[in-house]
Amino acid sequence: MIRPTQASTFAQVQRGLFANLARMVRAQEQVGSGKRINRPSDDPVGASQVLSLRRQISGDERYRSAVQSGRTSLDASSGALQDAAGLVSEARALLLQGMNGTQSAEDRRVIAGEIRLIRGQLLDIANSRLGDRYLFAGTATGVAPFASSKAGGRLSVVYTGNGDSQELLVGLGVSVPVNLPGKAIFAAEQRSGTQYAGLTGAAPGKSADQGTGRDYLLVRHDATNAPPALAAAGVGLVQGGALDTILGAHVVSVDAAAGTVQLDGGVAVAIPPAGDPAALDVTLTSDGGSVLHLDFSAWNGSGLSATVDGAGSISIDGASWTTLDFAADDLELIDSVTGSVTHVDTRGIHRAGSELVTYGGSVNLFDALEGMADDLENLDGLDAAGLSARLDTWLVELDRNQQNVLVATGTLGARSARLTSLEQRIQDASLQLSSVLSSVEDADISQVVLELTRSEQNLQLAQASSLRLLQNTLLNFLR
Amino acid sequence: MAGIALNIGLKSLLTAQAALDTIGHNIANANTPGYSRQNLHVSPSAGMRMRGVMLGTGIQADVVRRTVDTLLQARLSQQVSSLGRLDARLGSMSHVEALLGRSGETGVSALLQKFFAGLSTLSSAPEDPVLRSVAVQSALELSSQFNQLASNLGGLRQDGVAQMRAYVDQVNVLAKQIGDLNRQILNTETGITSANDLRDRRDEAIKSLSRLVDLKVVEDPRGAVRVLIGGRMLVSPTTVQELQLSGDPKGGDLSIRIKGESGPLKVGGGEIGGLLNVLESFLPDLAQEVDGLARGLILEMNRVHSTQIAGNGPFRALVGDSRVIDLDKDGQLTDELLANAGLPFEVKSGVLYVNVSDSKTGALEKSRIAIDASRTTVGDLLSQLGAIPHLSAILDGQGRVQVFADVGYGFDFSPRLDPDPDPIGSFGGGRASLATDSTGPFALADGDTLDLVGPSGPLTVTFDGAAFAQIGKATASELAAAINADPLVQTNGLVASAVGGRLVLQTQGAGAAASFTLAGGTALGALGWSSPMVVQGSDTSVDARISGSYTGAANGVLTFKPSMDGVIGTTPGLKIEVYDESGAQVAALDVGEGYLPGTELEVLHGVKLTLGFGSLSRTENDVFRLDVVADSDTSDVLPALGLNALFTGSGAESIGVRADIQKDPFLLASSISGASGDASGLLALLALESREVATLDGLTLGERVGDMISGVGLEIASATSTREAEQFLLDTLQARRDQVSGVNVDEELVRMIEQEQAYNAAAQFVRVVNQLNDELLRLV
Repeated sequence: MIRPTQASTFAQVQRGLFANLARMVRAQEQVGSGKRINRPSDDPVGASQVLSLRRQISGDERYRSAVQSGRTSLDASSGALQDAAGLVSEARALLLQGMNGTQSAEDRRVIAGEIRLIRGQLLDIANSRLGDRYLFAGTATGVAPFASSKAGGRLSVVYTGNGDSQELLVGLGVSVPVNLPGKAIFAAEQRSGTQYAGLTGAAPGKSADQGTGRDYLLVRHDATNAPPALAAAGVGLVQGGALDTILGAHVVSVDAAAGTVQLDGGVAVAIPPAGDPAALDVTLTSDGGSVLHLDFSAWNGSGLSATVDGAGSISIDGASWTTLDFAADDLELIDSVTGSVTHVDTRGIHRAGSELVTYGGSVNLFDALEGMADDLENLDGLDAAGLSARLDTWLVELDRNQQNVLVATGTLGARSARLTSLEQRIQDASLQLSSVLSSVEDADISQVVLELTRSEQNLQLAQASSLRLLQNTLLNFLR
Repeated sequence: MAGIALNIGLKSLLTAQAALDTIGHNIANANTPGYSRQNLHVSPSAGMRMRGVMLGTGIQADVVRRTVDTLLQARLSQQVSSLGRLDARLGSMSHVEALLGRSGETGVSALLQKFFAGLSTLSSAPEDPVLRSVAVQSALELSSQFNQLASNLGGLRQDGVAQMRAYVDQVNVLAKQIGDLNRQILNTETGITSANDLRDRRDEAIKSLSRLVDLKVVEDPRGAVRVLIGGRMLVSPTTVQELQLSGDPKGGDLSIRIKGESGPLKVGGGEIGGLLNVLESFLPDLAQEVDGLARGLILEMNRVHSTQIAGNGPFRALVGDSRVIDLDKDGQLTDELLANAGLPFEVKSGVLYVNVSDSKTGALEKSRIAIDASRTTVGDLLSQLGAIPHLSAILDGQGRVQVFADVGYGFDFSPRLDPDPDPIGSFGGGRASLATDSTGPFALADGDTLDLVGPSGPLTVTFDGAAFAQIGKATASELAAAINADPLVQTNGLVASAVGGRLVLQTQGAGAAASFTLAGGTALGALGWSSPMVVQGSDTSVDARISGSYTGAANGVLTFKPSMDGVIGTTPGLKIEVYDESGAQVAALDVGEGYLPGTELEVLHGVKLTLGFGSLSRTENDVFRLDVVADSDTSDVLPALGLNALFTGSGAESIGVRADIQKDPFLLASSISGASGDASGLLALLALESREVATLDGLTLGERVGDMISGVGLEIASATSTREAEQFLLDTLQARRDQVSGVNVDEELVRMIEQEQAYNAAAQFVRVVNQLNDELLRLV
């Protein structure tokens, strides 16, 4: 027989009330915080899931902000490069205009001025900054990457940044470079061997060369050796040959019948009559552009064909000169300023002048622009043929650099697009993770409210029934 | 007759009164905890023979007994004991749960993520001073969270110990109470009388005691109880022992013993048992886990951080954070083995690469220090560091390693490549240069000679066995030192050096005019040289440049040699052969005809070589070497010494952020190359977030934190559900006890009415007997 006692009844009532109240408090906590898991012990497995989800979400958030900052920097670079590409094609159009033979020297000077302006703008772009960081310096972002300086009397630009890319972590083990080192854009090297503009007849030697950008090979005329046959015909040198540019052996042919004189296969010049002051200095130009000045004032009228020799020296830095040996095919010239080593085949040299040597595929954009501006202004005093040869060289280098700028613009654009799609993916993923997190961690409010209502009802029922139970005692009836 | 009848009436009145007293007592104690319902046991009194009849003599009250189920009582006290244990455990564990933070929104887990987020943001602009401060600040927050957690866990222990003292005092009070009650019960109970209320009080005291400890109670036939804890007697019928708590509240083992006894008591149950479990296993385990986590963080972070370069470039000076301890107690610090110098982290056998760079030119010199955990002492390391040109290393007064570079120089421990691997020009340089074909050791003999004709005159170098560790196994560096030690070598314009284990002999001057002659000598054979040989310099010097970064997995040394005599970019078939440390050829680079000097060539694993113009000589064994480094510190000596550390300390209590980094956030190492915008170092630190760490059970840092938090949650959840079950059992037992021993007031009221009626009847009986007597007296 169950024998209920006061104590056990009270205890039971108390337990019932507590249990219901506890349920209600717990439901209220969930409603209040909106969370199903308020402490790890509420659901250890769920809590562990929550922690891992939170880790993933915070990782994603971080990746997203990395992607955003990466895009800022990529877009800034990309915008700068688009400007640069425009400027380069403008410069190219100007160069083509300058190469047109109908332009006067004055027109060319104006074009040169515009090209120099563009070069300056491009240099500014190459040194552009985002905040305090140089965009095109690789990872050496604290210093302007392109420094312009005068070397050997000519302006040239040197890349002082590095070739490293700034990697940004945009996912677990996934990094994206958010920069392009300026060297790859404005100063990329696609070496193709040494090129000579072709003025003097100097050619690459047998050995390989070492050098970057451009050099000017200086070929000097030192003396003209006239053969006795010339003197015998009463033809002499002008100012001892000081004005000549011929180097090596050249043939002077005097056609007595026609009264003309010709150097190699060059244009035949009419010999002025004796007494004409013009006869004191007849300028002969060979088909190769070598110039010989002859004095016909004492010409005896006989025809002749004689070989005139020009002796000279050669130098790459203008400081140390080597006497020309017209049999050498591999003369080594070391530039004491830049340290470049050039090997020259001097056998074909036929005239003096400043020979443009480009280490093919290594001239940077700025130096190409500077070089073409120099030549458009004709600082070296070249003739039309020499000028055109040089401008052709510059066009090749400009085209190459333009290609690099375009490729770089495309690369940056593609990277930016990749980051955009990555950002979208991360956003999708983190949205999904957040919804998983919410399903694990958050309280299902309707359910919790139901639970709250139910426990409240239970509590009230328990209170009511307890009251009834406790009121019933025999004492009520013992009067 | 009247005497008997009156007597019967009296007895019946007295008995009813006694019964009512008992009922009154029951009602009065209906709500007294531990009170057992008492019953008056009555029996008819012995009859007497009178006039041949056996006459009853009425009722007699025998004894008042309490209704109690002793077995149930024992079960109940056991149950109280296990519940006490669970309650004590749960109380402490809930504190811990609150300390660990609310499921990852605060606390270590969240701050760890914040720390990595700080590094990640910084990596997008490593030169930004604001982002740097933010990253350092988040490191600081993380470390102070660890400090706080450690001190809070320590505080919990101290609170627990204080609580334990209170429990032990309570045990002693209760034991004394039980002892007193034992005595009173013995004194009271004579014959069949039962000291009901004293027994109730004793039962209640035993129950209170079992909430504190698990105990065993044995009642002897005389009614006294013995109380045993862990098999030892706490209360005997005659004596009472006292419990004593010993141990340090800050740490170490706690023990409970009976005063005067040596062995500690085994207490498993009750609040004391539960608390003891918390203090001896739960809290220390957790503290150890937190500590392990902090240690893991410090070591793994510093391992990566120490081999990176700070945001403002190579270091001028570094001070280690760890202190070398004089473990052999000889008053000397430098003779301690690195592996046993009291350093917080283990030093293993391995290598340490140190770069010393010229602050102006950036020219780099990479040095390699071998560390043998069982041999290298602190002093050895210092002297090897000091032997590196432009570097000095000392141990300061506090036992910390300090490293300085000369003015105009900086140093770092980065794995970056040396861009100029041939500073002496032994690879087609302008100086006349001759190397040995093979790497050492060379089998020389004492007194071997080398006849040379230098630019300024002839000389003979004689090798003295005393200058070598073992002249039969002479190394290139020993040979170079021995040659340079001869003053005639320098005066005659020569110099020797060691390149990748090869001996290199060179003129001091460069150019085509510089030359020397190998004229003869007995050492030639061992060196693999033959005489006479004229070695010529050249006007062009091959410029060998290294770029890129090494992505290989292991550290190594690459040796570069030409395949034949030839001119770069000119001679058909000229190649550069690249050998690894074992002498195996790992690459051959075409630099003959068609190679354009200045073009980058990929060697291997991201290492690139660019050669300038010049001629190379196989005959003269042109050579240069290049250290390729994947891990600059395989010995972990940097994290152990705390050099270029990010986090200082060795555990949760001591973890901090290096003080000078806090002052100058640019000291936070962020790159391998040293370039201001290079975030490769930060990326390497970030990679740690997802790296599984062996010392953390192969989990990542974040997973380990999560594991720890959910581990505590799991323990609490399981203890909570166990507690519910145990509570239910206790409630059931309590209900059963109440059913047996409890007071039902209604029942008592019914019995009161019964006894009231009995009393009324007895009184009526006395009145009738009295009337009868009166009647009789009137007759007289």
